Amino acid sequence: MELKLEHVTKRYGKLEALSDFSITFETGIYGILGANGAGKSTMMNLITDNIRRDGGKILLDGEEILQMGDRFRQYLGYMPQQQGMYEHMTAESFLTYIARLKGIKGKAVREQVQHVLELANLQDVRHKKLLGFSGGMRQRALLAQALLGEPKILILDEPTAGLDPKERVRIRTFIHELSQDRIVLLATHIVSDIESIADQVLLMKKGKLQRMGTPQELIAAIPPEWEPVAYHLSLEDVYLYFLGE
Amino acid sequence: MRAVYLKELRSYFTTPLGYVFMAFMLVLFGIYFMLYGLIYQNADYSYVLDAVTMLILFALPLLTMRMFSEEMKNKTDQLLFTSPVKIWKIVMGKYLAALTLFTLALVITMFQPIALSALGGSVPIQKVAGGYIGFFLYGCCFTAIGMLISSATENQLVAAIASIGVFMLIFLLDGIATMLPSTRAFALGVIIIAVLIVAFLIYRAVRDIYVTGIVGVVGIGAAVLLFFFVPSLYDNLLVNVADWCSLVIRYSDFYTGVFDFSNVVFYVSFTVFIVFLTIQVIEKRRWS
Repeated sequence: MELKLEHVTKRYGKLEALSDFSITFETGIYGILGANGAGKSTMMNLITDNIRRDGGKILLDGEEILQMGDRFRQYLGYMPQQQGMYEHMTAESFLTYIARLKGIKGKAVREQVQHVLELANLQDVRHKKLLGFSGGMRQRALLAQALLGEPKILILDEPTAGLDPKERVRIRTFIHELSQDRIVLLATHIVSDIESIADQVLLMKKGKLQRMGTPQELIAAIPPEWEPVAYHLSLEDVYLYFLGE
Repeated sequence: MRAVYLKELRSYFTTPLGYVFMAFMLVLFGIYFMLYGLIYQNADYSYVLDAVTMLILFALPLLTMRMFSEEMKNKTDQLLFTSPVKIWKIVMGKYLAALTLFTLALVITMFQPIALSALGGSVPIQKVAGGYIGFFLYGCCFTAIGMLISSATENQLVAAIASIGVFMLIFLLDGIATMLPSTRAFALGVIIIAVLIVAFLIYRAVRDIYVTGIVGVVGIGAAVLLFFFVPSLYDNLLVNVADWCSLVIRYSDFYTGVFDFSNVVFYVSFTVFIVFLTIQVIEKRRWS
């Protein structure tokens, strides 16, 4: 599977949020790093077909996603940045609802819901209303809904925002485990989230791709005279060096 | 669509909203039933169906105010729009759920004329049945309007207040029209303003100055030509148009025992048009 962005441009008034952006995603985890306003969420919203682009193409295995329409969204699992949920639903009924929206039918609904509840470690609280969930539990529930329908493209926008370190590690491990045979796009400005799990790291700034490579390649590209933030070079240094922030 | 419909229907009963709406409707019908049926000893239930037409407009926003506003406010619309469900199915699912609740409440009120009849009252069955059909269609239209308003704002309170305002305006439309000047020139002026508004809306939708220009020029040109060559067309035009468009006047045909199929066609077409507009509003918001 190949997801290709060709010369994609998105403007908000005079501001160019994404500028002549081209990239090809194949199976694996892509960590997308950049400050607020770098274009991470814009790129994700364009891929999820939630905003209209001003130019360029987005192709899934050579087919334009706008022409694919609903068929494309069947490949898609999306975890939005905001924790928007149906507060009066239980975790199980929320996931059942999303499963049905995704066109899963019959016995498969129950099976898949049970499966993602287990994956997200929400089995014990599946009958609890989402209203009473902690931030971490909500993130896991959102991640679980993104996994329903076994999507081939998983788009995770700031999946660990606002979580404590323990929850962050848990979610990070979880994402790593489910990255097999999938394109996983993970946007964040928390560098440590992707350091250990991303196959490729994209550095974005002002709507442009500054640099891309494996974490090791990017670290190796830092000149020797650069003084590490900590005891040794890490993605934090890559972020500071290439994005200057 | 089924998933959205069932979820929406369930959500009316997991929050107090559905119960409050049904209670409001039943109390409203109950008060007039008591007044006409029990105190005045009148078995003609169509009086009740006439009396509740305006007050019901305060209850319907309870059903419609949260339909899309809540999704937008809670950002759950992102989950809906990234799922492989078409927008029209989402809109129809929500609309049918609201309509189901409205119909359910309406069906419960049917026990009142049935009880009257069972107790020996001479209930005019055909007239009352026609009244119920009309009331259902009347509710379909206003539920659709409420949903359209809910799709335009993420604030439920604003949606509710705006709905009541718009409902009242529609309810009083024919009365307002009679207060306006009945001169031909005034009617022409109103038509020109209406054409300009339509042209503006077309421009906002298609961003094409030529299409907008053609619509504007042809519309105004036709209005002016008719003004000079068929001036009688402009006699009492606003009142006639308001009467023709009035959802209330058409409803009065039903409960007074006149079953005109054109009224059914009008209500259904009006509802379909408003639901279509809602789909367009959602599509536009989604892209913006």
